[in-house]
Amino acid sequence: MTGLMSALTVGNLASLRSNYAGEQYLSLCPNVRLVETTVTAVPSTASFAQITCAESTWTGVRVGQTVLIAHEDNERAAFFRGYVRAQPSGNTLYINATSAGIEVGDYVWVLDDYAVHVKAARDTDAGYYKDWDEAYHAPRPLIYNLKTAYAGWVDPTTNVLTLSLAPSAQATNPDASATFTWAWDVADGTIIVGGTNTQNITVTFPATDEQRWVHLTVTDSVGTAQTFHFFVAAHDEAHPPALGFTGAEIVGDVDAGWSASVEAFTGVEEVLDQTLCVIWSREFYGDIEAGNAGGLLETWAIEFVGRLRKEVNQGRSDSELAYTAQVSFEIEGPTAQLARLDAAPLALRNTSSPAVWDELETLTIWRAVAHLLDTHSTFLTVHSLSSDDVTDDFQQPLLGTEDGSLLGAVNALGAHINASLEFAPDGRSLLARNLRFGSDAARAAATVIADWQESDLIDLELEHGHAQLIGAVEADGGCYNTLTDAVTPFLSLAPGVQVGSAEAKSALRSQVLRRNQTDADAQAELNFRCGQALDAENPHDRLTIQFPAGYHILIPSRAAVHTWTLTGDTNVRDITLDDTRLWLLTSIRHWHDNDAGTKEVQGVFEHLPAAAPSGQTVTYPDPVEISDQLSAIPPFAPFPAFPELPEITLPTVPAIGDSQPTASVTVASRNGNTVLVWTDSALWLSLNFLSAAPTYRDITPATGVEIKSAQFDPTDVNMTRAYCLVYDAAADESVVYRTDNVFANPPEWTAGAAAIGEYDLLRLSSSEGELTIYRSSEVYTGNWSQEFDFAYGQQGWEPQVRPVWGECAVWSGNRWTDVHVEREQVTIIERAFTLSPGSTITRIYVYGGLTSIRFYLVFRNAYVDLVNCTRTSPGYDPLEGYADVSYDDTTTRIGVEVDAPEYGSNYSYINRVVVEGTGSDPFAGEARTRTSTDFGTTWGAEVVVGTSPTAPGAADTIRVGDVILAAASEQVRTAAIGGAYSDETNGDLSGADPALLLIPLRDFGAATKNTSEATPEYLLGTSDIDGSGETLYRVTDAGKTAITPTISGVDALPVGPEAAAIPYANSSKIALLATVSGVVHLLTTANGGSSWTDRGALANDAWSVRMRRSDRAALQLFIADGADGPAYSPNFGATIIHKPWPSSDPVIGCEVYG
Amino acid sequence: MVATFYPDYQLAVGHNNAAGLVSIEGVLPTTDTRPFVAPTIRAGFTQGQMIVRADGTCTFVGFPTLIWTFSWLTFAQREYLRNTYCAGGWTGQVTVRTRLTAGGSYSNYNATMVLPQPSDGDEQLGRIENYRVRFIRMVAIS
Repeated sequence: MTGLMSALTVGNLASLRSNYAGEQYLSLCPNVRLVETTVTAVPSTASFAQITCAESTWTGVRVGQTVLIAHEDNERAAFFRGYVRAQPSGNTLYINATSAGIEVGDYVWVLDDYAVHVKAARDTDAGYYKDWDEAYHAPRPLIYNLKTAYAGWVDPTTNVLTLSLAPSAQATNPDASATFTWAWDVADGTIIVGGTNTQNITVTFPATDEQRWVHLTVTDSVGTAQTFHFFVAAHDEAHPPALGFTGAEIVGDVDAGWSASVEAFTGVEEVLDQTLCVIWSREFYGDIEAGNAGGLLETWAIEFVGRLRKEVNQGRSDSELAYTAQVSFEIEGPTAQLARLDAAPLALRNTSSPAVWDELETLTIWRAVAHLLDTHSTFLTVHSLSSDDVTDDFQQPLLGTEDGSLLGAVNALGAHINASLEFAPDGRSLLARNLRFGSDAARAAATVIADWQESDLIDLELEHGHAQLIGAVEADGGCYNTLTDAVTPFLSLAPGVQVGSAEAKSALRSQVLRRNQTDADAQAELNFRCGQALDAENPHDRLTIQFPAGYHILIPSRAAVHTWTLTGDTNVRDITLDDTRLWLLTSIRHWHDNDAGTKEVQGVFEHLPAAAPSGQTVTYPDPVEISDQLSAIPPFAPFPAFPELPEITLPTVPAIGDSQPTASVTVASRNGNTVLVWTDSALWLSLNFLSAAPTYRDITPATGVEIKSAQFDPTDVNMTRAYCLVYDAAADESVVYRTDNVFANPPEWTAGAAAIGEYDLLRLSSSEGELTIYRSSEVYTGNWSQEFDFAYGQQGWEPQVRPVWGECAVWSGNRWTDVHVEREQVTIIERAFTLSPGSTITRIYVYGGLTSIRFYLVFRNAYVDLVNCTRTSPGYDPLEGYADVSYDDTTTRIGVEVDAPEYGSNYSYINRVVVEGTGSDPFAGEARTRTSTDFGTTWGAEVVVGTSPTAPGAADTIRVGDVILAAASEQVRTAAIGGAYSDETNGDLSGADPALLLIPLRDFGAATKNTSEATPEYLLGTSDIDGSGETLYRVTDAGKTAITPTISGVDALPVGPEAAAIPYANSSKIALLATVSGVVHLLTTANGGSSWTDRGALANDAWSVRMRRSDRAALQLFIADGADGPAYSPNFGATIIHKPWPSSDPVIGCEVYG
Repeated sequence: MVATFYPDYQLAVGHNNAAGLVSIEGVLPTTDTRPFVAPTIRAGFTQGQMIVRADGTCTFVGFPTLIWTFSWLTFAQREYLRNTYCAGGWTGQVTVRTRLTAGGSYSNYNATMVLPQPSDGDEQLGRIENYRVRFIRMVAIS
């Protein structure tokens, strides 16, 4: 693609250096009223995108034209200014989405005018749309090399204005070729060279009052079309341009874009607000009219295209003329227009087969910019856009766009590769990379617009700063590996560990490095950019030039260079400049003098030195400090949610010297292809789950056990750790297996400590290595163990009360203390239980400390010494011991007794008792959890949740924070993870138990994070229809809100603790497996449960549904559909695709990666 | 018949109207009894605004301007100029044939003709003396 300006030829320069004279004109779009009608009906919804009008013919109306609506018959009083989003039909005018207070009887005008408007996205139950109801389609091609407007005088001989047009196009769809079809609609023009279907044409236009818009539709090789509209004004003396204006002041800045101001004294009474203005000129260089002067300019040069933005009416009394009135107009260019349009924040995703909006194939920065501008504005239909990089180099798996203005969002995307949007005054735009970040070779290869001489200036001002302002720059960036679908992050610091002389520091964030590089090359690229950023942030020599008239043709850009050759005689400091020093033109300002036909022109150049030294590599910080994705921002619904500000995705202050964890990372796709699937006896890993016939790798950690659950570990910075919870029925114990690289073939599993009993649920918390397992009150038979760790409460143990002494031990909150008797063997604490016939207590452990003597165990009159618990002399060391017993009496109490400790000693305490036995566990009937903080290697004490709910119960941990919710009988209980449980305030049920607990990432229906809270919001499903006739609730601080789904009037009952999924990106969405009349259905809601969609029946043993954490579109579902195997839905359940799996056993679980 | 001394000082209505050029000396307004005297262009031409570049060279920017000075003009002749070339106003687009400097050659130009307003003229009994007609935005045409 081409830049905004070509290098000037020798002939061009000769022309510039000769005499200059110019005439400047202003053409105004006449805003022809194609339709004038009134509103007859308006939808009653909060927002709408169509109105019913009295008109039904709509002659001349086209998509994209401007619509005005006013309460009175006066276009200038319009309160709505929008566009025609679809061809009108009948009495219906389709406009852009609005919540404007349109009323019946309002006046409506459709103008023959095309402007930049914002388009809104809409996420509904039926799908995700752009521009109200535009369903997904492939990305449109870019059209460029056309101006936004053309204007000129007709030839006095032929009476027509002749234009030669040579547009270009660029496919943004990687599947499209460079072949396009072209379709011109030249209105009242006549094509004299080429035809309506040729790329290049020469066309003539007569002078008219109405003028015209010309339309070019370009269709790429896969059939996707873009239409470009541009204004053509042809004038003669009968149809002159607006002549009641003074000469314009026009300013072009590489950052702020172009703007203009003019003063009018007549002929503007009927001009509408925001009218398109074209400032153009007829110019003479060396007395030769431009267009004949070596191609320096076209015959009718477009000096500026913009829209009226503001007017100031002035009147002045005058001693001679009494009173004069005039109006000054500010005219805004496309930069200012984009800067005041709202940009919805988007999460753009790279995918090989885009199917929904915001998915892009080969997601690069330039494609992201094109997508954002095309789907969220009409910009690309009236302004041509090209890019100086149209490669696939700068690809990413995810790109977030900024909330704020559309211009800000575009430039924020560009900043990932040091690019920004630049404009020509005629409306063309270019996504250009800043040469300050280019290599020496890139700088040398840049277009040199001209080597300017002393003869090219009138006045100069050369400013040279003596001090640096920025002492250091921190940079972060990532390199995308298209094979593994992973981004490897890097950090850099310039000038290095030792900062420069200036105190201030700056940052270069989220750099998108070239894809598929080695770590060394990627690091080098970031180091280079970091070094250039330090240079760019510091002052450069600044050259302000007063040019002769005629030099206003220059266009500021950071993608092209200039040189100056000046002798030391031009300044007191004897500074000489030559053509080896490069300069960037950053702004230009010119004033036209209509009286004299001349201009004042001022340009500002900034020195572009040779490339600066690269920054230094910074070792990546500790894994806990970073998130798993580069450039990711929190997920959010495109509309209507208003998301919070993006999170910083990489650490702001890297810790130098920390370990580098990325060296041997093995990663897999985060697009839904990487999935764990399991039956009760086998666990598989698939790396291509989305394919029609996915392949699986058997990674079962142990045989002869029952697989309960498996999970990837999201806290692992390498994203390779996984866990598998199994139950060994023979040993009646549960074990969590851990592998640090589940993608290794085969993975190496490590078994953690056994936890007695059958645990069904595995939950991870946000602290790396912290796992919690949950079990309800299945009646366990075989060997059992009950641990009473008083750190978690009394757990049913009570102190013995003796006459005179009172309580023989005092409950201190986490242990029994002040254990005292008066030199007797006395039961200190005891607990009731019921031992089933045939069951036996085989061993009891007691842990504590006594200052003397020893512990005993008492089974009602049978005293047993505890092994290793005899102290031969007083002391304060802890004691612990056990007694092997054979106790099968049905006596219902068990006590711990001591023999004469010293009275009143605070060092006498009991802090834990463990009871083991065989047969039926007499302490069953309680739900329990155990927590490990070392990846399941060891377990903390068993913590009683409460009276057991109906098996299997439910539990969930907060996504980030320290809260666990767990099911007890008719009650949700809450605790700090690993701590003692208490009733959750709003978690009470009657007639049913909690059977499903799910804590979403965000508050229901909001973007607010539901994290780091003591009382998070959660989804509560019941084991049966409860006393209120409900089965499902949203629980918030405000209480429970019933959201029970029904099918044909019958309540649907969640199938179990894994039966629901709520996407991270949108907590208004819930996917639920629930049974109705014995049939399991998939139900979904997109409005927090206010209404549900029945997606159809699944297998009757369907058990779990999952969503991918980084699924920004919140569409993918992964279902363990029991006997029907694993299933996938790409569209939130609208279609369900069952996948083959290597077994005939029912699939009871699946877990998706990323 | 009107005798002319400088027949190449010519005027025509509108731009690019070389075919319509008429010697000003040959014009005898119907309400008048006297033809126009020949205008003089002495000290009337300005090439444009002169600027000095940093290297010391000079250049001109802007359009040339020229003043035709009529040593005297009748009121009827002034009204003729206004009505014929300025649509009754004080300025209008014309094609003018003139030379720019004394001794120079004659060429055709598109220009805007600007007539002095009465307050700027030296009006005497029956005539206006030293009537200075300005041509601005002069562009040479073939």
